[in-house]
Amino acid sequence: MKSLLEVKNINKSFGKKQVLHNVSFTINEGEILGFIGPNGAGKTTTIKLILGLQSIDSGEVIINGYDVKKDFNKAMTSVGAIVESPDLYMYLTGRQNLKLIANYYKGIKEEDINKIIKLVGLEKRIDDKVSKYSLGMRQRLGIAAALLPKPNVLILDEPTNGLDPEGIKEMRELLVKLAKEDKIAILISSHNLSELESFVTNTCIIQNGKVIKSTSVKELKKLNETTFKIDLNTSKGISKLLGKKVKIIDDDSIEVYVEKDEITGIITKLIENKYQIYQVVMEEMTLEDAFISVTGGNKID
Amino acid sequence: MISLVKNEMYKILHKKAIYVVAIIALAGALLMSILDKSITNSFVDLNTMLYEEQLKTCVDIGEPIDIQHCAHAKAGLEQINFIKEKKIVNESKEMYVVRNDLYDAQLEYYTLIYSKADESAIEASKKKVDEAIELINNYDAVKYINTKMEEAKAEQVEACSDPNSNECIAANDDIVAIQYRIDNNIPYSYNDASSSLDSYSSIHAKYLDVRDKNDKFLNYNEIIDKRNSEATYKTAKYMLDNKILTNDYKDYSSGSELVDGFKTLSFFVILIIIMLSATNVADEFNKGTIKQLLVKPFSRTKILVSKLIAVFAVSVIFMFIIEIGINVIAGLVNGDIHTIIGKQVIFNYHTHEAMYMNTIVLSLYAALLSLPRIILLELFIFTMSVITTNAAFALGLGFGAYISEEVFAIFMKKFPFLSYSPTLNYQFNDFAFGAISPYKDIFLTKSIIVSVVSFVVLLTVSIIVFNKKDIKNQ
Ligand SMILES: Nc1ncnc2c1ncn2[C@@H]1O[C@H](COP(=O)(O)OP(=O)(O)OP(=O)(O)O)[C@@H](O)[C@H]1O
Ligand SMILES: [Mg+2]
Repeated sequence: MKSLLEVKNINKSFGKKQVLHNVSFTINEGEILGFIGPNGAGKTTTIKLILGLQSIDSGEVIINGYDVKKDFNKAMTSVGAIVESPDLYMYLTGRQNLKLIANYYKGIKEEDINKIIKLVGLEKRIDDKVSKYSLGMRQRLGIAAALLPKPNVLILDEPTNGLDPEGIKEMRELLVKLAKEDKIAILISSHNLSELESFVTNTCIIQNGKVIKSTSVKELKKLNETTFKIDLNTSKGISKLLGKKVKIIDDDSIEVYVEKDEITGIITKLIENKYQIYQVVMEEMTLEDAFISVTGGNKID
Repeated sequence: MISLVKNEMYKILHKKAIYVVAIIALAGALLMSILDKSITNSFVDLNTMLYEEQLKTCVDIGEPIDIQHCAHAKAGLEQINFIKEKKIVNESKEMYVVRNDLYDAQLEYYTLIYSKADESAIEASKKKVDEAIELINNYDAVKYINTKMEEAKAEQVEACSDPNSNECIAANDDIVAIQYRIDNNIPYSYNDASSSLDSYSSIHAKYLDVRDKNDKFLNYNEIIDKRNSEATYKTAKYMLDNKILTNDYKDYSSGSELVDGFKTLSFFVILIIIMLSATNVADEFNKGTIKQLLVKPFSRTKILVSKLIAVFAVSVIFMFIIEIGINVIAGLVNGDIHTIIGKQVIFNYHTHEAMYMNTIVLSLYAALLSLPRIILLELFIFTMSVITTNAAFALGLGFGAYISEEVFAIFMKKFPFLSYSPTLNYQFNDFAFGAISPYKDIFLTKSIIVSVVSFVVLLTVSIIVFNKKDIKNQ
């Protein structure tokens, strides 16, 4: 698989405050990376560094094989992006905004513009001034603007902001289709993990400017400790036996936090030590739980 | 790059503010020309008040009165009463007689009265006044010219006892001018041709007076004076020699408002330049759209330069719209479009010759010479706007620069370093056709160097700052 976007050990400080520490990740063609972190984690800053909007202190960003620092123009030829919010000219109509963007690239035809307008469902309002759009409509136009240059790297900073559930669903389907059919690499940031859970292929979790977990969604869930609730005859001596991984609920039930494949070993250990096991229940963990367990909650510091 | 410039122009031209300014400029021009018309009508009333006010100080017998002053006021008032009574209009030939012969006679008459001269002198003077009135009542243009010719010939005889004297040359010129009137049927009046002929001989005398003075011994104002008198004389002579002066000739000052417009630039043109330059970059930063722009596959330098070009191009377009529009409107209101399509005589200081030029060509030339001012004003404001990304701040500095054109000129004498200010050096119309600046410390080479250096410095600074700029969160 070809990697379309590589972020390698980038660092960024504002004055004395270092906001990014050796952030690295890679997105291959056809992958959708959920870039997840609480407010102030450094998502937008990372995206700005990728897009050359802010200078990189150290490290490098490679898009389509080109270093953003050295070969900016080549690196940006097939990138579509929304940073923070869709940046549109309010005094122009939606169509005029798209035409302006089309002018920056070679070979975008009138029909391409119309196709994109249809794709984001703005046909009816496209000739209205953007100042008359709702936030969700602006977000849709922003996505259209990002897709217009036919990018193979798409970078979206909190694009669901302002979209209604229907809009979110449509966007999801659109992104999945783009990744699958056009082999686009997509970076999508959010602090709302549940929104991304169902469709991203990979996640990168960032907190306080550090990537704390970077893995495929499947692995994230697997890798993370799962909660098993075990009912047994007595909980006496369990702590000694299992150590930190256990929490005593009451006299005859406990919770253990382990990775899935460790549970057999635990059960074997309990049986070897003459405990009687009545029931083992696995509490399925959502990505959200995983996120919280990894980041330790939504603390901003 | 072309597509970038096109996009930038597209954005600018879709904003309303610029059209509002243009419409205000044109509406203002319309209003001014209408007001102008009605003000000329009330000229008489205004002067009446002035003279009456002056006369109040002339009745107190106890104090010694200013005879000159009072006679002037009284004669002026009489003249106005006469104009009102006889309903003499500005453009008429009689008006000339009223304001020359009648006024002169009355001035003499009232001077005698105020100075309490003896009865017989006053009586003789009164007669002259009556003669002047008689002349107006039975006005005959041909007879009037002939009388003037006779007077001039008598003058010539007297002045040319020394044929090389300046007086003699002036007297000869007088006859040339009057002969020109006869040959070309230009009666004495207040049209531009007649006025030019009127001053022809006096200009020549003045020119001869200063012609041979060495510049080394003249101060700067005297040098300017010398150059001006040469220009005025040679221009007038050229017009006579080439029979350009006809009854519908418009002279330089009233015939070239369009050219003057392109030289000085209307405030509204300046306003558009300042407004566009201050907001163009700053607005994109404040609204966040700069992010969208900077992630396009173009270097920041190209993006900034295309913005500069676009603002410059739109400024120039609106300069033409406003300057031509103002003159077309004024021309339509006054029923005279000579100001736009006529020709005019200008003096070339390089060749020391006058030449006849089309107003349109001259306007384009003036517009061309205004470009350094537009470019440097724009670039200065642009640079400030890039550094601060604050439109209001850049706007304020822009107006500051504009005002400094006048203010620095005043303080230049006291603080000579101000003569290096770009705002005093970007006025290249001052040097058109080899002319010199009204200010001693401003000259062409210096202006070119100052302008080029400030252009390069401002452009470099703005490009460097723009390239280094981190795009902040909103
Ligand atoms: N221009 C700046 N000057 C100083 N600090 C900044 C600047 N821009 C961002 N920061 C800091 O960098 C950190 C990361 O900010 P960033 O905007 O990247 O967070 P984020 O992950 O996008 O958050 P959110 O979910 O709220 O959008 C924050 O602590 C922020 O205060
Ligand atoms: Mg953010």
